[in-house]
Amino acid sequence: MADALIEVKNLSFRYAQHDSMTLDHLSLSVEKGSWTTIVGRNGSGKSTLIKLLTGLLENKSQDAISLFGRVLSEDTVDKIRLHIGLVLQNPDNQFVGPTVADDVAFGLENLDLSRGHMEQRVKEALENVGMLDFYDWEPARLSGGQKQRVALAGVLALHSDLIILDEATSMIDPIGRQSLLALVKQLQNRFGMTILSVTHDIEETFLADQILVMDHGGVALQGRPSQILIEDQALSGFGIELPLSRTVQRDLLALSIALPSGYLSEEELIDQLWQLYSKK
Amino acid sequence: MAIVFKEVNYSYQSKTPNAFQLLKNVSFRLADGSFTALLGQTGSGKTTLLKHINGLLKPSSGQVIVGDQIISSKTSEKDLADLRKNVGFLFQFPETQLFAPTVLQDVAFGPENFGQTKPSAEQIAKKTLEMLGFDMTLLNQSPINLSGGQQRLAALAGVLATEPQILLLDEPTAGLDPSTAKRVMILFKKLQQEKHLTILMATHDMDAAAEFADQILLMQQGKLVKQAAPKDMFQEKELVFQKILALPKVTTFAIRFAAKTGYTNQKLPISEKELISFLQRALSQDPSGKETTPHA
Ligand SMILES: Nc1ncnc2c1ncn2[C@@H]1O[C@H](COP(=O)(O)OP(=O)(O)OP(=O)(O)O)[C@@H](O)[C@H]1O
Ligand SMILES: Nc1ncnc2c1ncn2[C@@H]1O[C@H](COP(=O)(O)OP(=O)(O)OP(=O)(O)O)[C@@H](O)[C@H]1O
Ligand SMILES: [Mg+2]
Ligand SMILES: [Mg+2]
Repeated sequence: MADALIEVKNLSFRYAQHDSMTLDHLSLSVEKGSWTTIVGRNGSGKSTLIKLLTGLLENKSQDAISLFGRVLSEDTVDKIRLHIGLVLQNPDNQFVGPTVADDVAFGLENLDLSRGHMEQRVKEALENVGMLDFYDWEPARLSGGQKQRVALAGVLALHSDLIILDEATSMIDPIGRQSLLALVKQLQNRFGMTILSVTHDIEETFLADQILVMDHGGVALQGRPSQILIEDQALSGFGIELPLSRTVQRDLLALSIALPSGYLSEEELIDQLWQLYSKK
Repeated sequence: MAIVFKEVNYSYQSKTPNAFQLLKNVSFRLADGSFTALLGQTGSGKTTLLKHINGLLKPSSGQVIVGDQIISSKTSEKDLADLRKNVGFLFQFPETQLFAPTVLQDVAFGPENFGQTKPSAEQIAKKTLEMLGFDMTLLNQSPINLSGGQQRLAALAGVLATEPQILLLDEPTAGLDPSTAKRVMILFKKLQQEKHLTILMATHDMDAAAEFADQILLMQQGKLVKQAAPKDMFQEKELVFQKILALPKVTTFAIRFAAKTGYTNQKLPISEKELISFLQRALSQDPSGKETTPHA
């Protein structure tokens, strides 16, 4: 792909503690300016992949990973990292400073910004995630969802080209989660940022341009949401829930209600139902 | 064991002038053997409330009564030892309760601590992990080397292995893949029904609350704003409108359908089965409101 921002070819990885491979000849590609969502069972290797992509784990498959058109290696990793905003699965691993503001500012230290500019970015990011009131709080006193919001602010403040989110909103209330994900979508649309997110929430995949289903250390399915979300049996086999619109569509078809059988988003399904409703 | 809150207030640093009030005059009663979902936005006080039930936090004023144990600001740590044997607490962040060198040792720790021999504690640990569908090839791994979801299952196994009478679950399915989450929720329901456990579960999963809980407590900014059965709670248009309450997916679907079509129906569905009959009814009703034969 000409415009691939992330390109992974035949990546394999084994933890020293294990006999078998955690990632096994995994290949994927992520287009610049797109949103890719990774789903898959617990232990399928999602976080391991993220850590390899960001250099947190050392990759022994040479040349397997390229980012921004450069091969990820010991020599390039520091430079490449400057362009990536990463939220890890456990927000506690990311807190380093005595206050919330210090934490958000931490990632900015490498960016050569003036004090004033930095403070402005921190405030803006905290405002965007609804946490400005907690500016000088101790991170340890935050609730679970508040911690995740602050971790997300740390990434938003970076204005990076690539944002990687590993279950970054798993403990945020549904209304808050939706608005934060919409905010991320806006960054993609407005500034062409590339998004790679890992989630167990099937609704998050609706925002994506590409879904990757991981299973046993490999990519089991890969495609546009409308291609993947219709693979009922395969998805169930990989432990993934079907979107509500899909199960409702199936239930109604089984009751002989005249609906198309191809993929329908929730909006499209409701539209179809509305047509049936007004035709009666 | 029943759980009762009587006018519970809790302030952080309650003796200082800049005290922060996290629970405000909270009162409720949960019957012995009930399954309750604790809902509320991020920061509304769910974790703080749960911590009062096993005495990790004590009320600044008011009382928490668990079984026949009364917890007030004056209760001493040593009075809480018996209570803690009966109350299992799954923390919001599982890694905060995993500490042994291996998964097996970690899960066996509780039963051994409560008097089982080492071999029988390990037997219980294995049985519990297996029941949860934990990957048994990881028994001798260090808990810190597990994936996020595996950590939560291991922490949960540690809690269940002590056979508590009360289960406090702080977002038990966050980080679990959907099929594992479902399996775990079904197990909780079974423990309630067959072993008569009293369960209180903080969650952001409205679908699980609707499907598994008998009743819901809704928190907002440290206050208990409503206690009701799921079928009543999720009809609360005012609370939904104020964004205090999110709805199950099926309920949202019905509302979107109704908004698009103008179809009005008294009761909103809270399960997929109810949604399907809701839609079926809508599609078979003529505009005058009379039922006609369903689309066949
Ligand atoms: N630091 C580590 N050392 C040894 N094994 C590990 C380590 N981290 C993860 N593993 C193992 O590698 C496998 C993949 O873990 P990973 O964290 O990548 O899964 P995941 O897909 O992110 O799962 P989850 O959905 O539960 O977060 C798991 O079986 C896990 O036990
Ligand atoms: N030790 C503490 N000191 C001061 N404030 C605290 C402390 N712990 C929690 N808080 C604050 O109390 C409020 C309630 O926190 P709590 O953890 O109970 O929320 P929660 O409902 O569990 O949220 P979440 O859904 O995000 O886990 C939050 O605003 C939080 O910042
Ligand atoms: Mg993970
Ligand atoms: Mg909490």
